[in-house]
Amino acid sequence: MQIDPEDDILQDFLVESREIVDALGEQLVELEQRGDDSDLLNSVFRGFHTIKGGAGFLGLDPLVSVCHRTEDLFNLLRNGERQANGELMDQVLRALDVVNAQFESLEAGQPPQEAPAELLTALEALIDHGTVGTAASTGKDTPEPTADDVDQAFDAMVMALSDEPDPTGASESPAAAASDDITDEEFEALLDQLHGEGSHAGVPAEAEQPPVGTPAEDAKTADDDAISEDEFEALLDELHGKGQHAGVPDGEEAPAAPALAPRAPDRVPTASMPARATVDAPAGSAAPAAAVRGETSVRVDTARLDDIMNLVGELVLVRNRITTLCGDVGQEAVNQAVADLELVTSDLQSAVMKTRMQPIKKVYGRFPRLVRDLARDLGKEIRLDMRGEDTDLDKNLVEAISDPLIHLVRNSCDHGIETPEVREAAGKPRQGTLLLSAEQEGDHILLVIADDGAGIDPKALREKAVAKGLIDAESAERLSDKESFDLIFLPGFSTKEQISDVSGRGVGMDVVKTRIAQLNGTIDIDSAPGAGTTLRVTVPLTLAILPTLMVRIKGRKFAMPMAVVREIFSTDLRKTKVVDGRRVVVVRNKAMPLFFLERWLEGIPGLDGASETDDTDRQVVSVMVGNQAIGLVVDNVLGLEEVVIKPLGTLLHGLSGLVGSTTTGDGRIALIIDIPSLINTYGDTL
Amino acid sequence: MPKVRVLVVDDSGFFRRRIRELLTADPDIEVIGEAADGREAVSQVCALHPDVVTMDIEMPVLDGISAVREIMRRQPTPVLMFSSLTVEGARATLDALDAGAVDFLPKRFSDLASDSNTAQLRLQQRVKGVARPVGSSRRAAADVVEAPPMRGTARDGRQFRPQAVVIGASTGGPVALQKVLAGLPAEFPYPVLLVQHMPANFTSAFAQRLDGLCALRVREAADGDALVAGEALLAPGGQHIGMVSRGDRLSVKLLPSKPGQFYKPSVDIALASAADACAGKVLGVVLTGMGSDGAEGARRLRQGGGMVWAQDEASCVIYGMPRAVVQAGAADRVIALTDIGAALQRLGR
Repeated sequence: MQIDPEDDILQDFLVESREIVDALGEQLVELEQRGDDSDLLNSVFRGFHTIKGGAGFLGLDPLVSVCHRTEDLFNLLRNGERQANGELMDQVLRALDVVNAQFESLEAGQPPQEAPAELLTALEALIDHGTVGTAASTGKDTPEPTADDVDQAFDAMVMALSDEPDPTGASESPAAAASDDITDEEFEALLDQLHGEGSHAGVPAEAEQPPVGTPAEDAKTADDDAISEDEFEALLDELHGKGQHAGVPDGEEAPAAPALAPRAPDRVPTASMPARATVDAPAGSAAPAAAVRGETSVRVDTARLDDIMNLVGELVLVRNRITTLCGDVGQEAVNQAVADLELVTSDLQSAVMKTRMQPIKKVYGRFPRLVRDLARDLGKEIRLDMRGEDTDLDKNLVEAISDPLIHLVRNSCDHGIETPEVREAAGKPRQGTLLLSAEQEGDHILLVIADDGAGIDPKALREKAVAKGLIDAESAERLSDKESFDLIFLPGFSTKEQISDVSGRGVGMDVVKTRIAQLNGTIDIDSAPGAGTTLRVTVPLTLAILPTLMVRIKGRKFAMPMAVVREIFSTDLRKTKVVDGRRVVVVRNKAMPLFFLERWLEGIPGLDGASETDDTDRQVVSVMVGNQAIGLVVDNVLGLEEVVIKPLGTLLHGLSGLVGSTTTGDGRIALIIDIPSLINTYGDTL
Repeated sequence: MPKVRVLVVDDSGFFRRRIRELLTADPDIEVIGEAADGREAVSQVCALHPDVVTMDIEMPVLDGISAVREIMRRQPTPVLMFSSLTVEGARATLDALDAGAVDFLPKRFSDLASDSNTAQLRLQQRVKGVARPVGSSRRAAADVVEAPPMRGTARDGRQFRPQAVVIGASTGGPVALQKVLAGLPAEFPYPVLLVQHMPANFTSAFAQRLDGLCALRVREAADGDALVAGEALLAPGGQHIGMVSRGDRLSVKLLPSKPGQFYKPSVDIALASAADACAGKVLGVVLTGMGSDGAEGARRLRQGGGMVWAQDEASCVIYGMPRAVVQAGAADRVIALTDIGAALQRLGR
């Protein structure tokens, strides 16, 4: 079967079905808690029913067969004839996985794979007997007759009939044939008279001839039957003349007309019927565009949205430019116009951003299932509490944040929440709670993953880090408890002695942290031993527009992502100290290492170099790199600016320390600094 | 001719769009609105006054059957159900018909016809068919009169003692058959064979339902079943049924349908084979239905000396098949639905 993933109707189906499948994933997990909620059962039933309907429309039989069985099963459930249990839910969730895989095939332009026969059998067994086990054999042997089966049987029969014009009645039921074969023939004769072969639409021309090789029957027909073919034709003419059946090409619908037309393939009326139908059809398809009415949404390729976003980005730049220029002109009217322009541009920008927004539900929707499966595998009892699923963020971000979040949730289930026994012993309820929340805070989104599990022991973390050689014992001693938690983000850190299947091997929290940092986001961990762990992830609303701090270094402008900026202060470099071979400034009684960006620019090696010029009042931008606050020494801080990130050209592409460039308000180019990678790469020389 | 104004009700946007596309390809049909659940459907019907409503069964908020009931109460409108052709779908569909829906169509349009153009035409035709029941153009049928009695006898059935009664129906038939059979006593002295146009999976559910509603025993016919007094056999869907006579015993015979035969079981075949089996001793009754299946069979039956009744126009949901019988000159009597039960009881008395 040919699948065209661009086909509008298929797309329409996939979009709607995807939504249903996502909802089903959540509903099924909910069902495990509230197995007798009839609204829930009804809506799961309808979900599979609707997908089956659409799949049937498109002739996607593998999809139909799995949805059909699941639908049947839920029909029993909602009628109270079966009870949901773990066994049943496992099969249904598998069925949902199969449906998901089939959708993926379709999206890739592949015909969907048939569901595993063993799953279909299991579903049938559940329908017939309520369990998979006892009925595995009988279920297989006696599947419920479905519409499909009937269709297949019918198709087979049709094939048989068209292959062999011989009467089939005789071979149909041998027992009966033995006793009354005469009647069989008579039936055949009847059939031939009433529904002569000549009338069958789509039957090849030769089939329209009377059956060859049964002259006796023909003769018999002619003899016995009072009604002649002429009369049949007359009847046909009469009926046809009334115009009752116009537009029916094969005439079977309104039964009679052509159906009764016997062996008269060349008769004018019969011949004219299909012709009429074909004339009708095109006329019909040219029908007015009334079909358009009622549509309230259109599908837009995300590439097009990206283009629009880019253009809006350019517009923002031009606006910034004009705003800057305007400061120089200083005319009242111009100022007003520019203010208006700013307003409109901001509105446009947020409107366009909204078109790209998707609820975080897209990611959160997977968690009920994920947590359920994990809990089952780990022998734990976990209640998932989700809040703020409707919080919107940029589509690209939704996709990008998905894997890190899944990893964090796995971690919480695996390492955080204890087994029921352990919890009981600790005086906690058997069931652990995992809270997932999302909310918008200004220009970023705050995602919280909190469990009420065992928590993390900061001392154990420190010991572990030292044992693994990640930090030395002396540094470990100096770490506060809060800082100790951040140790788990160090590469190669894993707190669990035995690496379980669940939360990765080696790909640890450091990868999660890196991924989130790439999204200009942050992650923060807090834990109280015995009471649980809370992870806070912030990500910007969008990736396309970046709030930055503009700074000047050696006469050049640079943009630093605001997400990492903590504070800005001025300092007298002569009052700084050198600790451990690194110049540091003491802020609130803590030493903060300083980095001199001009050294990176000018490639000046050495510790103190020429930095003593005008050192009495330098600006320091304090930023977070990992868990460490560092100070970047710059010449001037120019202010906040929202910039549109432009990728660097191929020559500069992949250069560490830079994420891209942007056009600033004064029309010049500013490079956007990627601080973590800058420090990682050049930290020793700065 | 004004367009047929249709309201499309389905909780799946995908299906609403497909139905809209299929229907509006016909210049005579206009989709004037859509509703995504039963409650919306009821309020849309009251607000828009559509000519026809196409209705899904499984919907949130208010299901299709309850919606039909509500529509019939507040703003009676022809409703076409979209059904799954499954055993379960049959029960729901029969409920919907009871609630007042006119007819049903398979939700899988490919069940209508193997090629999509034909399926589309059938869908459009069915919508137009229920929108303008022929009853609305009563003029057209005014010239039709009952056939003159044959052999000069008054054939109201009082002298006629049949060996079997064959009742055929299509659109509107399930409800009509219920009404006719509910009026018959358990000891009705003649065997009854019921031929209702229905998909294969529907007839067993329908037989069960009739059995529950009627004093007469009703069950789905199996090949070779004897026709006996006090029992009505319902022809199974998806195949044809005929009658054979051996001595004085009548039994039914099932026969596979051939490609292209849309109506299975066919009333024509059932009546014609009854005519062959014991022509003079069969009463054929043709009830409401679109099309003209049964007319030719009735003609043959009557020619062989049997008796034929046709349901009258006023009581028909669709006056198609009975009219074809009348126009073919094959009807001995034209009877209102409510009188058919009583007339059957007077047979031979």
